Amino acid sequence: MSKDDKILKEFTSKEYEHGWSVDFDVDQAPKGLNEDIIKLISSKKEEPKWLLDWRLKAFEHFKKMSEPEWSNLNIPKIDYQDISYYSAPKKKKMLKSMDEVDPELIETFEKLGISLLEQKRLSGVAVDAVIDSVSIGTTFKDKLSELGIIFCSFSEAVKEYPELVKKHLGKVIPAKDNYFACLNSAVFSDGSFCYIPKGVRCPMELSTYFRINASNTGQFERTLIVADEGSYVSYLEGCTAPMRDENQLHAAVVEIHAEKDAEVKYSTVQNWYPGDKNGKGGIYNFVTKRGICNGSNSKISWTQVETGSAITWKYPSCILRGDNSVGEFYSVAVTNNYQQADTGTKMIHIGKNTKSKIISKGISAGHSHNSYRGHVNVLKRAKNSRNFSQCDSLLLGNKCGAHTFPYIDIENKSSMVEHEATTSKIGEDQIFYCLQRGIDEENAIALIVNGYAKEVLKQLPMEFSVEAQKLLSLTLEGSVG
Amino acid sequence: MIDASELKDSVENENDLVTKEIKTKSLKNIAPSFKNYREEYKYTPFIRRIEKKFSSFNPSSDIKNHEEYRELIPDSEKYYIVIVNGSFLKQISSLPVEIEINNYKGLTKENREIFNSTYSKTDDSNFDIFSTINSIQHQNCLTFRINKSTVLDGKISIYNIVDSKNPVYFRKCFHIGKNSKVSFSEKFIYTSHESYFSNSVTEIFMDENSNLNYFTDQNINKNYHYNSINVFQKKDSISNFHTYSFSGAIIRNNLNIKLTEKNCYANMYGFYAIKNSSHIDNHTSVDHIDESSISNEHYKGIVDKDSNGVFNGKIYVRQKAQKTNAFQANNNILLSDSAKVNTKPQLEIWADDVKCSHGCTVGQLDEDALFYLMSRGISRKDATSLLLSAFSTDITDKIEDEDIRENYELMILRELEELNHE
Repeated sequence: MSKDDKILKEFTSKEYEHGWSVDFDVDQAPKGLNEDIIKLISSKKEEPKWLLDWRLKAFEHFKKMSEPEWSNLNIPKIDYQDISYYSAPKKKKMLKSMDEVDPELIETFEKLGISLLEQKRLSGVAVDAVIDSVSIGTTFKDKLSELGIIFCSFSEAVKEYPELVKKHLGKVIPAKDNYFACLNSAVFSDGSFCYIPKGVRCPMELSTYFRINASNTGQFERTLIVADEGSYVSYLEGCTAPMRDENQLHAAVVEIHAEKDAEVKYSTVQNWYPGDKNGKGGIYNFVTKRGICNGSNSKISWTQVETGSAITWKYPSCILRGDNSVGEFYSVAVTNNYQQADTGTKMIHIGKNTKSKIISKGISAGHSHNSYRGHVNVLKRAKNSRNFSQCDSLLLGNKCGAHTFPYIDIENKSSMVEHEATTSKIGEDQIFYCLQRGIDEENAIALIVNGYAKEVLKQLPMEFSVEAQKLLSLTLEGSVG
Repeated sequence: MIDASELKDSVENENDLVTKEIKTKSLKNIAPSFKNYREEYKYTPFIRRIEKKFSSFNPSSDIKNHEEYRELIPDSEKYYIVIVNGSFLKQISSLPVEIEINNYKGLTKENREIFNSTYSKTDDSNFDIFSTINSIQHQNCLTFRINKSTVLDGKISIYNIVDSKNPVYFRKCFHIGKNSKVSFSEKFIYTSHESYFSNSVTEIFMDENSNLNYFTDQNINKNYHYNSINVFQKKDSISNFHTYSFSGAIIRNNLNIKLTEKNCYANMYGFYAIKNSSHIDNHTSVDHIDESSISNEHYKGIVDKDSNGVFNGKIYVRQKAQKTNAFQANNNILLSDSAKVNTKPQLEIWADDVKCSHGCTVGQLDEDALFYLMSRGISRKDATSLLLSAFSTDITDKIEDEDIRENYELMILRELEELNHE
């Protein structure tokens, strides 16, 4: 066995670190997808009638839709009737402070290395932790509410700020947008709601940690972020799921509204269970993320580090409606074993002088397939628009694949669009250079890969950046090209 | 609109047994071709537009007096082949002795063998609806046999003449022998200014160490044209494709190259300068099947008023194709706000020891460069023409033969004159 093979084997046999499951008292709905289940979810959450109607309307439409086939993914048939659409840790009593949170739950977070208490004290990050559909424990609420910032669970927002939710829900991603968004609209369980009032700069990073805990429950998160005129917010999302043999479905929706002069930065680190080395199990991650720059000079920036999930289907997009608005997309997607990723972005330029930038770095190893799929559309009235896209792929081993599908549609003469892509492996000469200087092969590769992804990693907030770098070097340890 | 019974009849009426077999096979490809249509023709509503013009896909075989067609050939041509509405007119063609050109149906059994490896291999891999229809509807497949070690100076022109209100089908099959070197220049001439439709499928088989130059130029006003060229290269062979498009209601070019053995070299160059509601769609694919091959692709385009330029380049690098070098670029200049460009450079790679890159740009002429020229007393119009023709030289420079290059340069200059300079 050559050294390459040995190292590759070592690395493929690495078990998923976050694979454990805590037994809470779980309140779970029976399996199946029908109107009664939707009514049940709605009544459990004590939702108003308009929201139930909205869900039912989405479900009506969902029944008429069929699964999309265009992606470069091999998706095993999903039985939507075999999934439980609601599960919540049983409510014992109303929680007033963090001390009252189930210690087991706190332990769960500690295993993940994101202890709420620690974070509250040390890092100044407010965490709205979501475990299996119901939000528990929202920190820093008081501090945020002083500034008029609303950061709470989605169900709470529906109760307390129905007008705001009603005004923005489904406006960027309509219920009928696509198959998975439509499913989410019908059965979404919980999520986060965030509103930054006019002229407020959110003083801390807002963060949510999602975990899929109970087995066989699809998690249908819904996040809505509204940044009013001149505001700024940086939002973090991190995900881990315990090891399960059966595939779990995750169909989330994230909507962002950025008004005039507002800026929203959305960062994700996703390391859900990718399945074992034979491709068994793992999460199916079908996410619809889209932001709209409504007002002029607004900005939305997506940063993602995707290392987990058996299948990833995700295209965080920007609709640049306001003049001079800016959209950015930075992505590192790593696939290993039998993972499949089809990810990218859409940049729709509508307003004048709009700018967008796409940096996508794909790394494939093992038998995995990694695709970039992007769409840059400059409409006729989007005069003087500018786009730059770069999508690079790195191949480790000769059984994996890297694919690029950029769609570029330009409809006026004053805009400039550039796209470039390369595919390569880690060069012998690069490794040789490092070896020469006394850096061993392992570290040389970590160094090169980190350098390769640097452009994206540096966009992440500090805490995330460290986590992401750790994830990267862990996943790619010893993959000599 | 595609009438299944009409296609079945075409298969039923085929007398030649081998051809009938091919057609029967193609009939089965109709369904998968339709499945592909939505993505492959995303920006080119070809069937919908054709539907309005034609009630049937049945071909036409009427041919007028040969002398009328002879007049269409310039005197400067030395070797030329005239094909009218899909039928080869040997009487008015001028052929070099080194090349055997015959209808497939007229070949002896032994001679057929040579072409059986390529004839109608196209649909199997591509499932393009127009190629499939061509396979079913074409009446004659014209075979070109270049024996081994044949080196021809100068080019052989192929005049495809479309003179029918019904759809016209051209079908060609080339076998280029070992160590041969040839150049072909293909032209499509329509006797009407609008609404004729021709569908051309060409299959080219290149043996070891052969060398081919293939030029296509399309300036067909408001007519419709589908052109599919499918190449199979064996080891050490070199192919150079040059495609120039200037006008057409819809032109769709499919150029599919399969590098089946080691050390193949494929060059694809394209240039389009379009205006007045023209729609040009170039789809190319290079399939690196074996190792150490090189492919190089560069398409450039200038798109003016109400026109639409579409480019889709695919590079496939199979697992076995290590040490592949593949390069692809597409540059576009938009001259008007009513012009549109849709481009999709696509890479699909399964091998790790490769160097692949692609790039594409859409933009306009550099204002600074224009200003520089204008400050030296050159009018805006002339300065624009100058810069645009400079833009095209990246492509024309790749033509080895000096006469042919000059010819294309002149052709481009003439076309650029007519573009709109706002």
